[in-house]
Amino acid sequence: MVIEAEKMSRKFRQRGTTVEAVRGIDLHVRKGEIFGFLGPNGAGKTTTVRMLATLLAPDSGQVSVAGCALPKETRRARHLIGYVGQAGGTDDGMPVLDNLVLQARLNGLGRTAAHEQSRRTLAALGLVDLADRLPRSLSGGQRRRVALALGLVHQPQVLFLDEPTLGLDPAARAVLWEQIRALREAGTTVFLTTHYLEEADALCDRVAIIHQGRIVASGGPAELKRGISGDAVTLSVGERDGERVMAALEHLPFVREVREAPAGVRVYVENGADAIPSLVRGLDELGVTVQSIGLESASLDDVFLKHTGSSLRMPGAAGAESGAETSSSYVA
Amino acid sequence: MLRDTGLVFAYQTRRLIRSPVVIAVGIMQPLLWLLLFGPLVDGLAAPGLGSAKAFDLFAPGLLVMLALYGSLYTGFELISELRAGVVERMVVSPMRPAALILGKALRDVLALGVQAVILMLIAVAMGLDADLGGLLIAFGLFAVVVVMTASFSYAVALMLRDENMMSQSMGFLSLPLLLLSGVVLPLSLAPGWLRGVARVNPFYHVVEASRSVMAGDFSDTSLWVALGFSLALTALMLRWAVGSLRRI
Repeated sequence: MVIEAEKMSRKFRQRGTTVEAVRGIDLHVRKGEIFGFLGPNGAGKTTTVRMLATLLAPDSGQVSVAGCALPKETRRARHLIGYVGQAGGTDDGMPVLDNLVLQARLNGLGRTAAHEQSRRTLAALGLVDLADRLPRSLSGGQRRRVALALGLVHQPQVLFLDEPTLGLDPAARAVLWEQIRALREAGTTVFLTTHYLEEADALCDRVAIIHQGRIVASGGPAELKRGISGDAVTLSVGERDGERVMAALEHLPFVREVREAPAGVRVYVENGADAIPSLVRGLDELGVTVQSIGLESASLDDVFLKHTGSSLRMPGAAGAESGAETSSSYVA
Repeated sequence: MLRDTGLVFAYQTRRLIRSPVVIAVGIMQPLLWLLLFGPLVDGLAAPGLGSAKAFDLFAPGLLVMLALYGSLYTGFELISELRAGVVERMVVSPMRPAALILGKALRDVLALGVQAVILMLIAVAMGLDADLGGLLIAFGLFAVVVVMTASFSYAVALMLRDENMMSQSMGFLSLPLLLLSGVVLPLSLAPGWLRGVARVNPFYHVVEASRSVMAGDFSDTSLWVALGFSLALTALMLRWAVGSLRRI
């Protein structure tokens, strides 16, 4: 394992009260995989990645990164890891190439090697044309790729990315995903935090879902979704009828589970297409008008919902995302 | 450690050269004091001034004013770098955290040193009568004070992480530090209680020492008091700033 954590915990004191940001989590990340750490804002993702990246010492637990026990072997670990924080870390006052060369030199490379490696990294990420530009003149996507280059310039064994695509448009996000996938091909282990469900689903070999400082589920995205199995049918019925509808649908023989959803309910069934007519008929008998129906395969959000009782997509939920839905919808 | 400090210093110096306007703006305040206030004190005679020319007492103080105002606000840059994730990125590298603070502080010494040389050249042109050896010693003391004040500013910046609070705090500190340093007029003119308060101000001792050495008086104990006081505080401030950097 490249990253191993056993019962890793961290508390903070805030205005006289103690906040348990991370509560005894275990992590096992294999060499060369993309490992996603999924959860809403405030779940403990950043605290975890900062502990693994040597920025923060755990209060308790055993942590090993790239074969270095932390915090004892922090300095040795820093030679072997790269870190790209949420803010990116580009210095706006100096050209991109200068940013990279300094980072390479601080990681022990000589002058010539640092220049060569910086240019090679820029070429690998398609950033050669931006070498002499100031980061402040770049687009959000370009800045993120420069930030990635800063984390990679010394060819680390493990790269930590904290919300790497936060705030990017879908096109820029797709470009960054491709570059992160290329890292895996090159043998780099990537540990990334995200609250984008589709990012964890599309990019990661394995994910751990964190909620209130605890890991509630972990495994491959497909494996986790298999645990839910079947389809999810979302019925918009208005908030007034939600509870009545839940009570009625729970008793239908083909329904596995019913959960509250924004302005309606979410029904888990084996086969959504077959179930929809019966669901609509059932609601009709109750005198409830269905405003719209959505059908989708179980997603990581459903896994999150199952383990935490709340959705990452719920309005007001910490970290609710605005990403595109993958469901097909019907208006009743 | 030396290599890392050198790397940060060289990078920060190249960054400074890209914005020479920073140096031009930085020198304006002490320059205006020299040009607009200097002629007022020239020829001034008052009890406590002794036989010294008032302008020769005033000009060395401007060096300290430059060090104080030039370094006290340098932490602002660190706050914006914290926000941009630059500091975090550098701390995760194998670099010694102290190198970041020292490299930046030495860049401040260079930037303010250039301004100090310009300032003193203008002061000499206006009639400052300074011992050359003493002037060089005053520049050395100036460098120590810049590292001390800049490290203090970086430590406060790392603690507050907020430009508004930083601005308020430094504004609150700078005026009493300046008035109690005797830059404008020697504190030998002040009542006893004020001189007593001034003795806890490191800038007061640096002003006294700068005046002595620039007047060619190397036997005065003020130089050793100022040097000891400044070096001790520099070590403390560096330790504070580096400790704060480890906890970002």
